[in-house]
This record gives sequence, C-alpha cells and structure tokens, in this order.
Amino acid sequence: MKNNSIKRVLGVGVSIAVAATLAACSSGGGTTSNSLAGWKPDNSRATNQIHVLVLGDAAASAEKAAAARFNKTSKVKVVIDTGSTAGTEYNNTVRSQLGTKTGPDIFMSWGASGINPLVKAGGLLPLDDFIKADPKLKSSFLPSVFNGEVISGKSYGIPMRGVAPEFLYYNKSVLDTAGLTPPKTWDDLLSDVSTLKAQNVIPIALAGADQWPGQIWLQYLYTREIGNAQVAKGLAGDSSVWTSAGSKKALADLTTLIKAGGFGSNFDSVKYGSDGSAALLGTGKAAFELMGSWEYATISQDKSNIGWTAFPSLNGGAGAAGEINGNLSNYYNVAANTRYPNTVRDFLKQLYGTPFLQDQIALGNTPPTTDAATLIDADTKLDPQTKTHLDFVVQLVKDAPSFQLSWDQTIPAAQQNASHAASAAFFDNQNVDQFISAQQSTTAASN
Amino acid sequence: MPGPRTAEPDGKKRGGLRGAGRPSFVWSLPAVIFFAFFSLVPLAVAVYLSFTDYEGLAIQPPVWNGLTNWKAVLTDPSVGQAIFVTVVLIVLAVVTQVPLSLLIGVWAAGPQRGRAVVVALYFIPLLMSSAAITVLFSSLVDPNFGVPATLRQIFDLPVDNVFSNLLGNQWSAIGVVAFIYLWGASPLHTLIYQGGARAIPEVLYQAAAIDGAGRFRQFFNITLPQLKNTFVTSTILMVVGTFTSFDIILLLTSGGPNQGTTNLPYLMYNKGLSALNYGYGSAIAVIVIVLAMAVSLVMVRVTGYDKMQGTQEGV
Amino acid sequence: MRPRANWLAGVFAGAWLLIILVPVLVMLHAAFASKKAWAASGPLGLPTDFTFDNFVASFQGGFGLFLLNSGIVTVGTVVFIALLVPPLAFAIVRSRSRWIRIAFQIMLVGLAVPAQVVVIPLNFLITQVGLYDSLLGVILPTAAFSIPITTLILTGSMREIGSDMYEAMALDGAGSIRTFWRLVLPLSKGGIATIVVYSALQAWNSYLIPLTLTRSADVRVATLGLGIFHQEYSLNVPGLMSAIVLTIVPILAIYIFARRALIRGLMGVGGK
Repeated sequence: MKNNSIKRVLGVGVSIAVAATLAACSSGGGTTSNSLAGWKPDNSRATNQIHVLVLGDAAASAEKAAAARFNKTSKVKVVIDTGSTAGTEYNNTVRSQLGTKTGPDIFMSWGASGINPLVKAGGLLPLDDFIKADPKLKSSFLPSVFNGEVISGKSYGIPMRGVAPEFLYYNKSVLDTAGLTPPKTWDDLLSDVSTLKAQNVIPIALAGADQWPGQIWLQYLYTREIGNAQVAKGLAGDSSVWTSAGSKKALADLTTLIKAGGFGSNFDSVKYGSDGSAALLGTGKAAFELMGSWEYATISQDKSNIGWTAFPSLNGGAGAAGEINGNLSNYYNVAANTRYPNTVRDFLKQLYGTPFLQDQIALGNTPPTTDAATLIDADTKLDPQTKTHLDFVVQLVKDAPSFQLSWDQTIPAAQQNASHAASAAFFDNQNVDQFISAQQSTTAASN
Repeated sequence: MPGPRTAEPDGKKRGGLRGAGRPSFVWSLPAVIFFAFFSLVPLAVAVYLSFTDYEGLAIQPPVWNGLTNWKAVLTDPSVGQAIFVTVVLIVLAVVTQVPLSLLIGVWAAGPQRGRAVVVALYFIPLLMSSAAITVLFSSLVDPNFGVPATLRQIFDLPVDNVFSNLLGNQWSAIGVVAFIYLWGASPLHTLIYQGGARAIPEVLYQAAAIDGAGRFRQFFNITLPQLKNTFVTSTILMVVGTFTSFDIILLLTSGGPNQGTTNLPYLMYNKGLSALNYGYGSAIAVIVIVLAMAVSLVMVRVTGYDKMQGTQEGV
Repeated sequence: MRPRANWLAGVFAGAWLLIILVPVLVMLHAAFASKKAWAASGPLGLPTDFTFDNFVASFQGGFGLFLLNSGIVTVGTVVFIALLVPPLAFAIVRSRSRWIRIAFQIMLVGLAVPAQVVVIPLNFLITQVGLYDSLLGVILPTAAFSIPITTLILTGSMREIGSDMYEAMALDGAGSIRTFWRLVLPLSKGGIATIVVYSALQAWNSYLIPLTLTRSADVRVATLGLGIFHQEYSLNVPGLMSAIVLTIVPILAIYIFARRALIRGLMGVGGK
C-alpha cells in the first residue's frame, strides 16, 4: 500500500541518517580512513604523517614513487594528496588551507610571485637551515632555476618536475612540402608565413581561447627587441620600459605577423591541448607553434614528424642571441607550521636523488639539476626522439645568457587574469596604447 | 476542535473549519534552520567580506576597509558590461528554453507508448555535470576539428564562414553559451512542464471537445492557463539559474572574447577570487544576490504565485 | 485518451532529440577512442579505433571508489531532502502563519545565492564543526543548497491539492499531522518523486562543494575524480569522457529501472 512503502523508505532513511550522525560523532583520530570511515571528521593531522599536496595524477607519478621509497625507511610517513584540481583551483586550495589544522606540509608552486603573499604572511618555512644541514639541497640545482624562489635572500623552494623553456615547434612534413627549412631569423619566419599561406596551411597554431599562449609571442618579441634585463625591470614595475621605443617596436613586429595572417583567423576559438592547437601542429594543419617543452608530451600524433628550434633571432634588436623565456621549474615549498621539519628535510633530499630524476625524465621532463645532461645520456629506456628533445632543452638552457620566467608567473598573482586578457586583446585589436597601459597596471602593483 | 459548519456557496473556507488541520509554522523550522545554517550564515559572512580586504589566505584574516570595495565596484565599467551580458543571457534563456520545454513537456505528457523511451533519452543532459557538457561543446565548436570543420566539408564553405570563429566574436560566443544552457537545462524544465501537463484534469479537455474546440483552441484555452503555476516555477528557476551560473563561461570562453561573455558571477570569480581580491568579489556577489532575489520576488508578486492557489480552484 | 496526437510537436521533438543525441554520441566516440585517434579524427570524425583503455585508466585512477563516494553523498542528500522538504512545503502551502510567508521568501533568497559566494565561509564553518574532508561534511551543505529549489518544485505540486479534500479531513477530526500523513503525502507522490530525482542528480553532479570541502582521495567523489584527466596545461579528453560515461551509467541504469515507478508517481498527482 502507498503508506507502507513511504514508511519503509522513511524508515530506511532515518536509520541511515542516525547511523551517519553517530559515526560522525564517534570519531577517532589517527586511523587510516577508508571510504565509509570518510563519514568521520577530518583526520589528516594524524601523528607521524606529513602531507604533500601535489597537482595532477599522472604528472605526480614520480613524486608518488619518491614517497613510497621514502616511507620504507621512515617512521614518519609521507602521504601524497593528489590534487584533483587543476590550475587556479590548486592555488586556491593551498591558500585557503595553508596554516590551518588541515593544511599541507609540502605543496607546489611556480615561482616567487605566487608564494610572495604566503611569505609575507609568514606561512612558509625558509629552507636555509635545511640547506645548511645538507648543501646538496641547493647545489644540485641550476642556479638560475634555484634562485627563482629566493626572496629577500632567503630560499623558499626546492625545484622539482622540469625546466620548461618555450621555443618553436614545427611540423617537418609541412615544411618539407612547402620547401622550407626551420626559420633562423624573424625575416625568415615572415617569409615562411607567406609561403605557407599560399599553400592553405595555417602558418602558426595559436590557442587563442585560452588567452595565455599568445603571451608567449609577446614575451619573445620583447626579449629580442629590448633584452631580458629590461623586461625584468619592466615586470618589476618600471613603467618606462613599456613606453620605450623598443617596446613599441616589439608590438609593431607582432602586428606585422598578425596582419600577414600568421595565426589564421579562427584562433580565438581554438583551445590548447592535444585535441586543440597541438593537434593542428600534429596533424599538419599548421606548421608552427610557439610553446613550452610540455608541448612534446601534448602532441599525440607521430612525434618523429615534429621538430623544434629556438625562437628566431631579430636583426636590430637590443636583446642578446640565445635569450630565452619559459617556466623555470616547479618548486616544493614547506609550511611554516609543519610538525615534522626533519622528516620534511629528509624527504626533500629525494628531489636531487637519481631515482626521482630518472622518473622525471621518463615523464618527459628535463630535470632542473646540474647533472641533467649526464642523466639523460645515461638513460637507456628513453626512445631516441625523446632523448633528442630533452638534450635540446638542456642545451638551450645551458647556452642561454638569460632565462626570463613567464610574465604571468612573474607579476603579482592577483594580476594574472588581467595580464592574459591584455595579451589576448592585443591579438584581437593590435591596439598599442591599450596594451601598454595594461602592462603598466599589471606590473605596477607592489609585490 | 472544529466549530459549527457553515455551508458556503462560493467554496471559500470560512467558519469553524478554518484552523483545522493547518500546519503551524513549526513544521517549517527543521528545514529553515538547516538551510539558514549552511546557506544564510555563509551569505552573511560574504556580505561582511565585501567590507574587507581579504586575499583568501587562511593565515591572514580579513581587514576591514569600509566602503573601498563598494566604491570601486560602483565605478567599474566592467560591472556595467557584465550586467548587460547577464541580462542578455537571461533573455535568451527564457526565449529559447520556455517554448522548447513547454512544447516538449506537453508532448511528453501524452500517453502514447513510444514517447516514454524518447523522453528517457531527452534527460541524458540532465545526467551530465556542466563541466562535462562544456568540455563536449568545446570540442564541437573547434573551428578545425569540430562542427564548423564538418560543415565546411559537407557544404564546401570557405575557410572564413560564419561558423568558423564562434568564440571569436562576442555575439556568436554568447549564442554558443546560450545554446549550451538550452541543451543542459531544458531537461529539467521539460520534466517540470511534463508533470504540470499530466496534472491537468481530463474533464477539461473532454468538455472542450464537446463544445467543439479543436486542438489549437484546447492548447491555448486549457493547457496554457492550467500551466500558469508551472510556468512561474520553471521560469523563476530558469532566470535565477542563468543569473548565477558561471562555470560554462569559465571553461569555454574564459569570459572572452575581450570580456564579451563575462557575466556578473564570472566577473566575481575573475576579479574577485582569482585576483585574490575576495572583498571586491564579495561586493559583486552581493549585487548578484540582491538583483536575483529582486527578480524572483517581483515575479512572485506579479503572478500572485505566493498566494499558493492551485490552478484548479473553482473547477 | 487525450486527442492530442500533435504532428507539429512530434516533428519538433524529433529534431530536438537529434540535437540532444549528437553531443552524446560524440561523448561515446571520445570515451572509446585512443588519444591519438581522437586528436586525428576530431569530435565528428568517424571513429577509427575502439578501445577500453580510457576506462581502464579511470578505474586505475580510483574511479570505483569515487563512484561509491558519489553514491553515498547522493543517498545521504536525498534522505535529508525527503525528511526536511515535504513538511516545509506543506507548511508553505497550507499554513496561515505570517512567518511562513517569510520562510518562503527566504527560500527564494536562497535560490539567488550562487555557490561560489558561500564556499569560502562554508569551508570555514565546516572546518570548525570538524567535518572537513568527510562525506557527511559534503552531504549536509549539498542538501542545504538543494532545499530552495526542491521546496519551490514541491510547493508547486502540493498546492494542487484541493481545499475540499482538506475540509473532508478536518471533518474527520484530523489534525495537521494526520492530514499530512494521510492526505498530503500520498497525493504528493509525484512531486516528491520529482524532488528526489532532482536532488539526487544535483548531489551526484555536485562539484564545487566537494572541491572545497574535501581533499583526501578516499572521500573523493566522481566529479572531482574527473580532475585526474586535467593535465597541467590541457585536458585528456578521451580519458575525461570515459570517466563521464562512468558517472552517467549508474544513474541511467537506476532511471531505466525506476522509470515505471517514477511515471506512475507523476501520473498519481493528476490521478483523476
């Protein structure tokens, strides 16, 4: 009967609710949780545990392996919390959790500007004592990379994952068909663009819908026209850099490329990814893409058909040959309120250890260490194509007189969206004054 | 105890039966308290935050800054632009979703057997989260691999046709967003209209048929008026839902091109949470809530929805 | 029988069905394609291969547990809604108390509150109560946020109960409790079925609340589990689609089996 079935459902419901509440109240700490015990309140501050908040799953496999190795001999266990979030959500999680009862002990960052607010609020542990106890925590890493998270003379981050400079990828068969070789100079690139357009190929793939890829073009044109030293000044708040003649020349260069149809006309609807702009390059619908070294893993087509070269040089620019842009590395940072600093220090040692670095190489990452070249050459499991790619990255970084961190990781984190929007707007309207004033305002905010 | 009965020819309930069997407001307390704790208390905190400077760091509590955020919000041109986009999206939602859901809901309420299977298929979008739906449509609007490319092949269109840069132009981008809302939200409203249409008593149609009214007449004179309350329920949900939604915009266009699809909630996310300016974002949030609330209250008043009358009073 | 076999609506409905199905087919295409084939063929291209690899990857990523957690959250939310909302709706529809009108307007306010606004304060609240990183901590706010809409829907159907029926109950000497139990609930089965379905779907698909209130993998729900396919700069779309298919299949199965009960319930309200 109708009433009976309703009664039954309600009865079941009430019992579940009661059971749940009872379970929640009778919580214990220090137990490992399974899904039903997830009814119980948080127990991540269990004793003898440190928590590492990582980003991504597959990308964190090297870190998970390091934790497994470490836990074999450590009393205090490392628990890897795989971030189920991407991008900005990760940073929001860190910000809202750091320093609380449930906050992580170790987490990842991209550079000084991201952690500056945390440092100012006293949330991060300076790592200088760790380095004193074990100098290799600093000396194993490339100085230009390590210094990326030295703030006011104190070290806050240990590099991990990979050095990721940005350079020009190209599709070999597309260039062959057009009778072209990889461009060495800016003028080469411009002439390649008109040849490719005549063949109905999109000369340069650009993921305009995601806004940040266009900024890489701006970065390199500024690097070539005014040099990274000036760029760094501009990013640190010197507004005259952006109104300088060199700056306007860089914008004029980009305008020429855009108006020549270098990026096609549909780039605002193209997203970055293995089925977006990288697919354009991989399938030969486009000839070039200017992207970071992660592009190699993102292209899912046959990689033997993909080539790479440094960003072309520019005649008459003030920048030195070989200056590069990109992401220095990711870094591990330590919470100031960690309960087991010694364990943290010892776990961080894994980051310069050979097994961890080999795992990173297997993931296609170039280690940010001084021995990266040796490790890569010694690796027998790599296929030759991947090895060539990693060797190129190492050489590019080694030869570079300067390595400027991506703009969106250098300016204050709060300005990141505005900065992306300004770059995307320039690709749409080529309005020089609008761009210059946007750059001034996104770099003006004090760090 | 019920008092003396008085026969009322007009069916109004006066006399001793008035108080009998009516729930006191105590019945509403569990739900209201529960809701207030989890929804209204945080809301009050959000209002408080709009008067503070807060970067979202747990270790750095909010600092009171008075009207700074409010002054900034009220002089920010992007707020006006966002309100415009919000209104456009709402109008598009109502204009597309109401007719579609109404017609299909009424059709689905019919008894023919085949309809049940078809109706089950209609509800698949309801089973998908908005993130899932957006990822799908992202790949569908890709100019080189998605629908535009296929159309180009089939109809031999030039490279730069009207579909090829859907996200590159403010109005086509808004159109795509509105279409995704339509695709994802119409199952719910179809369900609501279907329920409403099923509840229409058969006798009304039979009487009309006897009077010689044809199908169109029956639809306009019986179905539509009987669905008035359903319409209000559905439309309030639709308006407020569109008002406050932002995840599709976040995942599809990042508010672009050039802030062209930035509505108020996205502006709140972009200039507030993402820019570590929670105070500013909270001010925008308060504006969103006040406006959405005003709209729904007005709708309720104007339609007399809160009088809780059934559509069959007096039948 | 309703003499409304409507050709116009039928054609319209058929066209819309196609529009519904095309993205769904694209989703299935992606779920069973390898990353390479997907990138080559694009969403509308003919599938060139068929693989279960994406599903395997999903399960290896822990999807079995995530689905179970989603199930727990869904059942818990539905229980709270089923217990809290019918009495509230009854009070709104029937009570003469002035406070009830205020309660209804509070519900309307609640509709207007976007979740992003309250997640930070909610996070703080939940942590204080000690429910951070637990499933109960996800269930409670999810149920709370579903209350306004479900109340709106249920009052919509409850108000159709005619006053003559209430009078009949009153004549029998029924108080509010008996009226509720014997009259209102049975006649509201359709509405209750609707809000159960609606709140179940909301809970199953909820993302923002679990995102901010959980962290550990063992309380992760399926919508968060999709995040394992977010690479740092791009998405693994086939993997993502396979995970999405996995989140749809259980609900679809329940819907197919419960459909008859649901339709009977919906027809029960009309029931004349």
